[in-house]
Amino acid sequence: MKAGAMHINKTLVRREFWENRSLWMVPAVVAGILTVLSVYMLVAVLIGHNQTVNNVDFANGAHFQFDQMPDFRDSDSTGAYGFLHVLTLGLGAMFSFIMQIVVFFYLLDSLYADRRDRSILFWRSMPVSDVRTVLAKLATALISVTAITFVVTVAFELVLIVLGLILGSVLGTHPFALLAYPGAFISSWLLLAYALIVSAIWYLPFYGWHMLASSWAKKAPFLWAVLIPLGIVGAEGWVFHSANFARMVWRYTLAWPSVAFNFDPLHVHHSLDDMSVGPLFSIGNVGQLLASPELWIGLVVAAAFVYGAIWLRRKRTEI
Amino acid sequence: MSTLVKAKGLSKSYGTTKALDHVDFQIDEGRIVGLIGPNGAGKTTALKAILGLTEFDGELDVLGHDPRQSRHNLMRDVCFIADVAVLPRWLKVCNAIDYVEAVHPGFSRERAMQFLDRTKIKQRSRVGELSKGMVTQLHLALIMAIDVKLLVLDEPTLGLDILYRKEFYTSLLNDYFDGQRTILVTTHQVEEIEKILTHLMFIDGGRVTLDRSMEEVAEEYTEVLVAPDKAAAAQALKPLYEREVFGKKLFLFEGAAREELSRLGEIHTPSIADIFVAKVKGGMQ
Repeated sequence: MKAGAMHINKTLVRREFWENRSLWMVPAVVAGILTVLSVYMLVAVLIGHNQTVNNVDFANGAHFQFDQMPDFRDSDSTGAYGFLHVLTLGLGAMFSFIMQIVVFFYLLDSLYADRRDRSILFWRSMPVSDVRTVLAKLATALISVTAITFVVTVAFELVLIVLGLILGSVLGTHPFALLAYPGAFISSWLLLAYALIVSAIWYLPFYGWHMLASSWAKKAPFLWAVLIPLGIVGAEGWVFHSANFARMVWRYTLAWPSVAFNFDPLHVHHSLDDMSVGPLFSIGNVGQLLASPELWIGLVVAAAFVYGAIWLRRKRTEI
Repeated sequence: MSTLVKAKGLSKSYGTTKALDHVDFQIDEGRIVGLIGPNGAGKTTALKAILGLTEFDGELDVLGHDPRQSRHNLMRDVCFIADVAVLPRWLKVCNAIDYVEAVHPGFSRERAMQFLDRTKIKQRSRVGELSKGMVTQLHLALIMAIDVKLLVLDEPTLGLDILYRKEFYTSLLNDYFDGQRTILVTTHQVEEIEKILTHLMFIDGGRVTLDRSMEEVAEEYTEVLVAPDKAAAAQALKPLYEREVFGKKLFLFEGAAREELSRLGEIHTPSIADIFVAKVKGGMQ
């Protein structure tokens, strides 16, 4: 019948989302809660504005100065671009962080849960190769940390902007001037997409490691995934009195922004204002990224881990 | 008639235990083969080897595939139910159908729906909400809607009540088996499958101890109920196994002439379970 290769791949990924609803529910719920909080704050500010005049006391004296509301009427495009880039990437970083945690637990379970409940015997009674199964699970993780993160970030950002427009127009600033710069929106979203894709590729060795632990463990894949690296750190400290492994992993984790952007989280000496002025990204960054040995070493390590996960998947049908 | 499964010198060891010890057998098209053996005899290991779920030594050809190499290709022509509880709890019935339809070229949605319409299973239910019997019905509906050459069932009725067990085999025989298809089944509930088998295979201590068609089994094995005074005459004919029933002796013979035996007492064809016990216990004596 309809056994097209793409159709099978799509079904395998859909299967993952049937099983792991947290992949989209967690970011959706977080965005929902933040939306409710934002609306609540907007209403609180508006009521406060009607009753008194000026700054509103949120919890414990955090003052919100209305004259600090961004006003793009007089500024040039740089202000709008800077504002939207910081807003988009800031929100993107937050949702990305959440999704990394969700995907961490997803991957740890991905090759373990069906062995635990023995449903692996049903999945393996179907004509789907183990290579394809494992890669579909990896693809699901990548889709989650890129596409889902992107959609949730942009959706929530638009909510914030609409709320900001309402607030600004009530308070008499000129927030609608921001809408005169559609290019600022588009470029901020392109930057977000680029950042999400680069970080997803950059973190492939971690995803591969979590899948390997999931495929290996007869019990508690979380402990395998966490205790082995900790064991290496401990052993190195004990034998060599050094911490090169931990430092290497830590540096690698934080290295991608400085390669993919003109931004180094390890040496943050500029304030947010500087960031908005300096060019965050130039096309040269892509070349710099592709030329970085860490990227390629990371991919080789990731391939080795994923290969190991597939190999174990073939061997370990039962726990 | 073609041969679907051919094993030659099939061996598998777990540590020092030999689960399969140079086993030869073959399964031809159109058969319903019962694979019977005590626990740890190597039944499940043999099935796993056929299904590409374990490594092994020796030669094994399943529909032209080496199961070790290309399990996923093999699964186009072979289907199996390993245990009743293997459908995951989170899976929705409609999603299960979507999944199998997408990945299995031999699956027919209409057939699956026909099977499911006879049950109380709802499309929107999750497996976790179904009773154990319903889960088996669902699994069976999915598997029986797939057109494959070989169906392997490992203890398919384990943990089910009598009602479902009866239904299971009735359904299997009436709705699935068409004389072309081939079924390989293992179970401890030997009496349940006795009527549906065309062939019988005993496996004990990692070896095949019997491999016959049911007709051959009926010809070869005879049970005689002998009065105590003729017991010595019966024993002289070297029975495979003897036991006492209501003060009389029941002898089970392998390959003995029926006419001769009928002079000793009332003869009949033993059940598979009786032959099985005789074979296993007789082997020990």
